[in-house]
Amino acid sequence: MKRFGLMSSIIMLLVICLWSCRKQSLVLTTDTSLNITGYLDSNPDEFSQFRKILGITGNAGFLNAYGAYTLFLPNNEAVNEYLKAEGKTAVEDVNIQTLKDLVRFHLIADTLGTGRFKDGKLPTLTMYGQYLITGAVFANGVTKTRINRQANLVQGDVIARNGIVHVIDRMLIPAKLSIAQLVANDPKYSIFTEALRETSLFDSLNIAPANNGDRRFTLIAETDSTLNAAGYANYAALKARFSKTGNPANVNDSLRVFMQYHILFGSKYLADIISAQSHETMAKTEVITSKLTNRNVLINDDDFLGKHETGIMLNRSSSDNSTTNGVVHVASPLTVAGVTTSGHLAVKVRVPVRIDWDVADFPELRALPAFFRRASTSFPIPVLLSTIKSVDRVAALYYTYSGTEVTVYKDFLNLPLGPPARSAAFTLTTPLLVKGKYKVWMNYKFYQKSTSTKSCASQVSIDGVPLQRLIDGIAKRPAGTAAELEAQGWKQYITGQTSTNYNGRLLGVIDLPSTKRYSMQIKWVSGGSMDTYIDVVQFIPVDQNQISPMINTDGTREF
Amino acid sequence: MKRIKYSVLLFLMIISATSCNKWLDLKPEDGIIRQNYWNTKEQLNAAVTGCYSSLLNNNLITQLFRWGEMRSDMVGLTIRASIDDVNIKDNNLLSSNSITRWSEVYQTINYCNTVIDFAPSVKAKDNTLTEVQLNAYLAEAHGIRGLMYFYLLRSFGEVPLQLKATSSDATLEQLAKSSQTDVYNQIIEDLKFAEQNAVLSYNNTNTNKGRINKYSVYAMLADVYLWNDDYANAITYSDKIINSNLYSLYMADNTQSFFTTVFRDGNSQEGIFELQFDLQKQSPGFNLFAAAARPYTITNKALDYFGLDDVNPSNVDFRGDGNSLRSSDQSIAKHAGIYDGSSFNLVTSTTSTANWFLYRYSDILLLKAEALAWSNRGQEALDIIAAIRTRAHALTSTEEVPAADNPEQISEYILHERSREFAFEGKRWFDMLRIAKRNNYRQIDLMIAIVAESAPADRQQSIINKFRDTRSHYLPINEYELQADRNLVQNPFYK
Repeated sequence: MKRFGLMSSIIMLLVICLWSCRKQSLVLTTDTSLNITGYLDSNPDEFSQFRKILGITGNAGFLNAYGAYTLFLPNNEAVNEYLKAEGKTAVEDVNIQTLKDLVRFHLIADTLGTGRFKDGKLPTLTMYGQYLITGAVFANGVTKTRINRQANLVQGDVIARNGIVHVIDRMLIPAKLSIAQLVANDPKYSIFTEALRETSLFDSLNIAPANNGDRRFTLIAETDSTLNAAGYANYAALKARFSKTGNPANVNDSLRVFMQYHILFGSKYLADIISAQSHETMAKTEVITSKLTNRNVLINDDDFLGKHETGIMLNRSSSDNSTTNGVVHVASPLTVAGVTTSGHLAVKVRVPVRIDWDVADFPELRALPAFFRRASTSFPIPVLLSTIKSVDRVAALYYTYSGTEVTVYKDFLNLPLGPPARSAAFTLTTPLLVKGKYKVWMNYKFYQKSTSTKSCASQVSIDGVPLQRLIDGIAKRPAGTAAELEAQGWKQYITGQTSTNYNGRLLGVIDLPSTKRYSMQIKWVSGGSMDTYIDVVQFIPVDQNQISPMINTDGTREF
Repeated sequence: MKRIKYSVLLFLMIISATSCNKWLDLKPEDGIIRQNYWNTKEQLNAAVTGCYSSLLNNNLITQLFRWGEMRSDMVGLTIRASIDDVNIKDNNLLSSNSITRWSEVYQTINYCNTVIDFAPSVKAKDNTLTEVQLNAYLAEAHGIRGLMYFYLLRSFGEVPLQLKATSSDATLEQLAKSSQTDVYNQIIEDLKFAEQNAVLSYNNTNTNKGRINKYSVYAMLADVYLWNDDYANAITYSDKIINSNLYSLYMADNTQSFFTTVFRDGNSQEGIFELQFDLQKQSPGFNLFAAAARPYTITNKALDYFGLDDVNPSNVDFRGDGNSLRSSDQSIAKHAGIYDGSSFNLVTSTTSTANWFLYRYSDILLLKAEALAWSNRGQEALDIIAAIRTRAHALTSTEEVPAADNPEQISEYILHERSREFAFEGKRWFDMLRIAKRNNYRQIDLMIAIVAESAPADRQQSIINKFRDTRSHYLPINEYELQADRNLVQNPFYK
């Protein structure tokens, strides 16, 4: 009995011990998703080679830690192809510095999903310091997402805990040549290259961003055949035409200015070029204009004073060439409205010219034929039209037309200004304005919301430069002769319209630094909240008659 | 002593056994279970009505609208649009995008499957249900199921064919995708059954337009056959509707009467199959097109399609401003407009009662015209287009004169005419795809030109190249569905 008791207690103990020994399975993590390095480790069949590279370069650790990265991850096939091209048998044979550069070129310190891929560069630089470009390529019935024109996307948007991984099928190789070297190495650009050297711009385009304050450039290059077609058989002919000082390296020499006109600041791929209407060039105060027509990127293709000026085209297939310090595009011929250009991009010489800008004429309104110069309409909140934007998105934009109205084209733009019920400001894009000194006249129709509203004053600025005088829709011009009024900054602007409900107000003088489309902001500053009726804004060169010719209600000028 | 123990035990047993009685009864006390349903023909009627009411689900209609419009060029986005819609416009389609959700469609399919599976059992229990009546009910379920699969076929290409009711955990199936051909054959099979068995008329105008009868099945068949380039059958079924003389084009005097009769009031002489909304069950028109937070608006392209009379601006296409759209604030008005006197307003949250249009008579005419053009009967096709244009008061600036022997030109003309006739009715993208894909994508350039014009400038080239890959014309399968059904494989373009 005693023995039995002992035995049983031993067994009991054993049972207890056995039970207690069972491991408790506690989940100690809140998330089982992998870091980037972990993702590589868990798929050795596909990524063992790149994982090896990360080990050699010492990057495995930091890609396994907290962060926000985008990795373009070459699969094993990609790395093997690279080794074959380099004539190596294993990744260990490759120079370690080369490997480090390669890894940095595949990494971006930002999380960029495939939704951010556009026709051009990614918004953030790689850690190597060059942009990657993306695009979609169609071949043999299949469309693939192409990275840097070197690799196809195999699988996008793999979400790791510390970033996004895009698997690609080839290694991405950074550009080795600078802008200058790229054109110099291509015999197509012999005249252009020589001109770059002679004007000493070659060196400016040959510096790595690291040694140049992180500056990058965009070059619009002209091929020899383009220059030949434009009548320049060789460099000598080009020099004879442009170089006025005889020394192209002289900063004031026109040949140098001509060449500078082909250089933009920053890395601007085609998608960036068509995203803005104009771009500053290295030639001081000169800009190029850009637009997308159908599927083509056009440069300096403008309507000016009612006439179309055919510009040039940037060839899609041969442009967007990445270099160490920027991007190179190729100028090519263009035919618009029966006029064909050679693709030669020359500085436009223009003298300041008067512009009567009908603000109530913009693309979105023109698209409404039932309303444009026929009936009133409105554009709902938020006003984000191509050329008119409200700053705080509070109020709609109104277009007013009346058959009995006497303003120009019997219509005007109605800007509701004055927070909180109306907008704080509207921004309008001007037509193409030639550089020079202008007097700016705001021609408006008087409107007073109620007798208690004593003023509604707004400040007008052109590209951020405020004009000297405010615009107040309630103010009327005083009595006096035309000359007396002009001296006080007032005028009658509609032919035969002596009513002081229709006034021209001189806002001030502005010196426009370059020829382009400016942004004009009308910002409410004081007084009541009220609608302001703007008819026409005039930019009249300071040396021209400011009063005559006046404008007729049909838009023509009365000489 | 022992006896007491046993008796206590016995007593306890009796108490526990009897008290457990109720607990073990698993039938719900406040609901009906399947074993108690499917007993009378009234219950069957209620179940079929349930299929229709699932069609009125605003989420379902919104999804069908997005599938039919978002990838084309007539619907634009306001600032209130979701990021998913922006991504569709950028042609940035990922399986996480809400446009890829099909659950509402399969929900309706499951309702139809339930009717199809259990309706026959009613006949055994309710002798007053005749074979003809039973088959008519089944025809409605088959018709709706066919229509739902047709939407899936056009949007996704290959989809799983769920043909059994998911009525218990045991019947949950992990289905693989069926090929486009199989889905198409299933649709035809469903619609053929419906054609055989559907009633000719319910003797009530609103019911005739709102429930499936033989004519709405003919309309679906014509549409489905044309999708598969089966011109002879498309013409046959169009003719069955045309020759019935039950439907005709509404010859309006002006935009207002056209809009009010055909769209606002609905169930007009043009209506063949319309989802019926009223004050009790309001349409999604208000939320989508009229509310302050509306996500959708018209594009400038949409305005262009209606043309302009330069000389006399009051000479307008009846289908444009004041009908399908309101140009004063660029809103979509077909399902959300309302005339108050002569002023054209948008509905409020309490007046969004317009029907949603699935098939109208003009649709059948233009489907037939397209089939005629490809059957060497081009002149007849042009005559039909001319008739449609006359009644809609189309402008001469939008008139085209394709050669009668050139089916491709006529197709292009029909595509343009359909953009006016069915603006914002959720048909545009399917029209583009049907015409583009014909004869091994002979007219894909039509589609490319349309998307290139409406693409964002900095993505235009990528978008053009993506559309060149014909696999991209079908949507990806939603990531949630891929997780739930291990047998589903993502569509190749999106892998």
